[in-house]
Amino acid sequence: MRARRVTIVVLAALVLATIGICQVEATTLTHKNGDMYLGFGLPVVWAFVVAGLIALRRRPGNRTGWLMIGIGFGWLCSALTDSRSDVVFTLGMLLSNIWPGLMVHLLLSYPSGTLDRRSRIIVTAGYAITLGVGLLLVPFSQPRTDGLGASPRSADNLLLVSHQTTLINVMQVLAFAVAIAVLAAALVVLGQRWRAATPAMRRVLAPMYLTGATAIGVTLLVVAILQIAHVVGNMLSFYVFCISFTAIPVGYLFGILRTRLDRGSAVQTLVTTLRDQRTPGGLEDALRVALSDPTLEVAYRRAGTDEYVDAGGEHVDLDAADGRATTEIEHDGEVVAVLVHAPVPPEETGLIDAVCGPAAMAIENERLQAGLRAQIQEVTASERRLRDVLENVHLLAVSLDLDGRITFANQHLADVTGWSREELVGRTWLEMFPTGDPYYLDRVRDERILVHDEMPLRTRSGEERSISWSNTLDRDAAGRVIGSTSIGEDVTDRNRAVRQEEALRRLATMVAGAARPDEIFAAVCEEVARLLGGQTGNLVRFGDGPGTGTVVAGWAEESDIPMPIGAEVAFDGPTAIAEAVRTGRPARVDDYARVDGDLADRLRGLGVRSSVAAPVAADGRLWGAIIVSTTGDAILARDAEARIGQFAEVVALCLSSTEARAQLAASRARIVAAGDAERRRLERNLHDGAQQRLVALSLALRMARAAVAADHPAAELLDSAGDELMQALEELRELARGIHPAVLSDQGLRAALGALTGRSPVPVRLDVELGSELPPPVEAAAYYVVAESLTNIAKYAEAAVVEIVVRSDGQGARVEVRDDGVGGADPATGTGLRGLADRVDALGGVLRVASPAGAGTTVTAELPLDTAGPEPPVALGVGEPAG
Amino acid sequence: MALRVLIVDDHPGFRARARALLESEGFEVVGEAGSGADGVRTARELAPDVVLLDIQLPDTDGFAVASTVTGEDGGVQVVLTSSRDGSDFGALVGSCGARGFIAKAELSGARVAALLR
Repeated sequence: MRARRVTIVVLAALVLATIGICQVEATTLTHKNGDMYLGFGLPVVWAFVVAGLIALRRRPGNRTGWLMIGIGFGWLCSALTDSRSDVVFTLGMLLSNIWPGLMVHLLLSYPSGTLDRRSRIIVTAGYAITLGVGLLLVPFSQPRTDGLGASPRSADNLLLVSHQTTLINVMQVLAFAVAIAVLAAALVVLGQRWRAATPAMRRVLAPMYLTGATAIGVTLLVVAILQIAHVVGNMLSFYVFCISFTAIPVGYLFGILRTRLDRGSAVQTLVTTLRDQRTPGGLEDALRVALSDPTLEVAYRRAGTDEYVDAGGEHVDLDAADGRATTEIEHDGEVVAVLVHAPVPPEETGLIDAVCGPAAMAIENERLQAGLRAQIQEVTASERRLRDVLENVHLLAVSLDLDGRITFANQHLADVTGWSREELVGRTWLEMFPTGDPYYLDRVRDERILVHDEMPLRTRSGEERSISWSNTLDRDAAGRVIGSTSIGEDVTDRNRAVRQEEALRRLATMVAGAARPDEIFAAVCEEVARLLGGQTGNLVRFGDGPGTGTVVAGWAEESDIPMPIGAEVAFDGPTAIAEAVRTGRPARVDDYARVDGDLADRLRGLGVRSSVAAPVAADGRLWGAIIVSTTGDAILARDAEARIGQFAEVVALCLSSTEARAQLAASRARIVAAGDAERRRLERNLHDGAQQRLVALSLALRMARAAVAADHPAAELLDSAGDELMQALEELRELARGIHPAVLSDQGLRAALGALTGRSPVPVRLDVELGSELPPPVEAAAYYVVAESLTNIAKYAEAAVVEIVVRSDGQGARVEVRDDGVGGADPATGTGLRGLADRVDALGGVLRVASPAGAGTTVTAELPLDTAGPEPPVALGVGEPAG
Repeated sequence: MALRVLIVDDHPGFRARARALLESEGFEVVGEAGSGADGVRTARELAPDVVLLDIQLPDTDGFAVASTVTGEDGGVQVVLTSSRDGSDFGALVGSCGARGFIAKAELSGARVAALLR
């Protein structure tokens, strides 16, 4: 209602003003042709006022309408100076210059009706020179008297104080300069706005800017002509001026009209484009065309979420659309999409609404599709992430189709196998890796794959690696098996470490168990060769001369050993063993094909391809070397040098252990021998010393007794002394016998055993057959075995008979004491048997006691004749310099 | 007629006491020897009725000397003696040709005579 009243009031004022101005022009003296003025001037006034009213109706809060109305009436006021009435004339003088300021204001505030800071300065300057300067000059100007456009005067300036031609001229030149600056500044601002404007904004700005720029240009031209040429009353320029200014409101109205037309055509364009577009994003393209915004984006809201995606299903971050306008699009009361577009002038928002109405169905449709695509994107992304994981994980990853062809192989698989991914993909697994499971594909087809299995894999270089696989079936969307994907861990090193640990433990057990060195060395050769993937393993002891050695142990995968034990080896050229000797560290040769030297020739002749050797040091000196070799295509494990060193240490440990044991045994044997010698000496001393004196004393006593009569008082005393002496002698003999059986050293084992059995309370069957002479320590041990056994039998066995068998040959002696007593003897409880065992052990022999309860006791002693104890074989002697 | 005795022992003290003991019991000690070889030689020279022979001698043992002198013509009888016990020598005493064994501490003419009967 208010708007209509405003319209009526303004129109009424316009009609009245028009009538008034017609009256003025009809009676004016100033213009010769007032009709022409009315004919060109009034349309400008009407055009601005009517356009201003329309603008007010469209946007009541926008200042644009009022500015246009102001310009219309301002323009009208400029005609008041044609009046013959002094009052009207003076009023005209005051108001005639207001419209250019309004004009600048209109252009700079269009289309929002508001001014930014820079524009406000320009507009203020415009008002200052158009209105301010005019008002200042009014008291000093009688326009029709002189100056530009001077004409016969119609009326007098009622406010005139004194006409100042010079002042007016100066002020006008000044105002002119400022006006030029203001207009230039306005043009710059408008130009910048145009450049920064979006297409939609330009469509809004275009009519006004075009007409405005034209008007300003024409104004400048007219002012210039009037000022420079001093042409007075040239009506042609006035007409051009009027027409160009009329174009401004007309242009504005045209803009409004075009917006209306645009809506129809945009909708039409949209419908047409949508009909032709079938691809994702077609709607977005259609909206871009329809709304003339190539930057427009459609963000579809995913059903049931607040997430927005584009037509392709990619996530769209609406918060990132900074400086961009967004328009929500609803369908069935729910926001289904958001248009992200260039800021739109208020005039154009209706266009978006007009377009989005018909597009809503299409948007809804595309939204569902976008949601689907987003889901696909998620699945794809998930798949991509999985692939990324497979790609980057430090595990082997491979996919096979049902024909066993490799459809995917990650880089780690390529790195481990030595084949490039291009070489792998497309080939079948078994073609590339013949050591694979030939029944794997059958199991895949039957859907019965082993989830975990471990298979060997031969690399391009020929090395065999152990891979622990985890397998899964690949299925298509319908659930049909289309292949399999496997993740594999290279467990070669781990397995080898475990096997090495086990091998070393076995060997250490052998060493600790005092196994024979040659047995240990053979075991070392086999263990290390198997562990490192070699076909042969050898232990070489260095000879006295430099660069020579003798094979002392060996193992071969095949039955025949290329380098038999005892073979002489001279190492020349850069062979592994020669390098190990030279550097004192493990060394390897991966291919003897290009190695010079006799040994290399010999190895090639034996089919050896590669070797790794480690020096063996014993007692701080280089003793020999251990060598593992491959034949055929096999190559050594990559860490063979590191691993073989530990086996060399086992050999060294065995050597030092054997040596230490030999020394210990020899030491024990020496202790026993020394003990025996000392016992012998003691016994001899007793015999030669105390015993002889007592014997002499005994004889003297007997002689004394013979010299004394039986009834002599001394006779009884001498008899008693003789008895005591006999008792002492007997005890001394027993003591001496315990210290050492003199008969053993004097008469040998047979006599000593005869004497022993002769004293035994239990009947003894003695059977002695000595094939060779026994060393004293062995005789002593055998004697004490029998003596201790007989003592025990007499004490505990309750035996009826004892059988003693003694045999000897060139190697050793065997003593067996068997009784038919109660048995149940425990060697661990008696110090006698334990001492015997120590004595036998010190000689490198073995003492066994079998004493089942109720079945008698058998004591057996095995005594080597080599009483120095277990010596290492001569070929393995330790402590010799290697040369 | 007194039995003629040859004493073979490497201990002079024993030889002297044995001589005194045996002579006091009516034996005639015809000679003494300090070693096995000496004993064998003296036995051959003197041809005693009995040789009182120590088992432990510096150059050999009494069993070897006994075997030698009893095995030769002339019928010399040997009685072995030792400061050790006879059982220490087992069967050797009985197998060397000697008439028997008397521990030195138990030596007496009666015992020797008993062994020779």
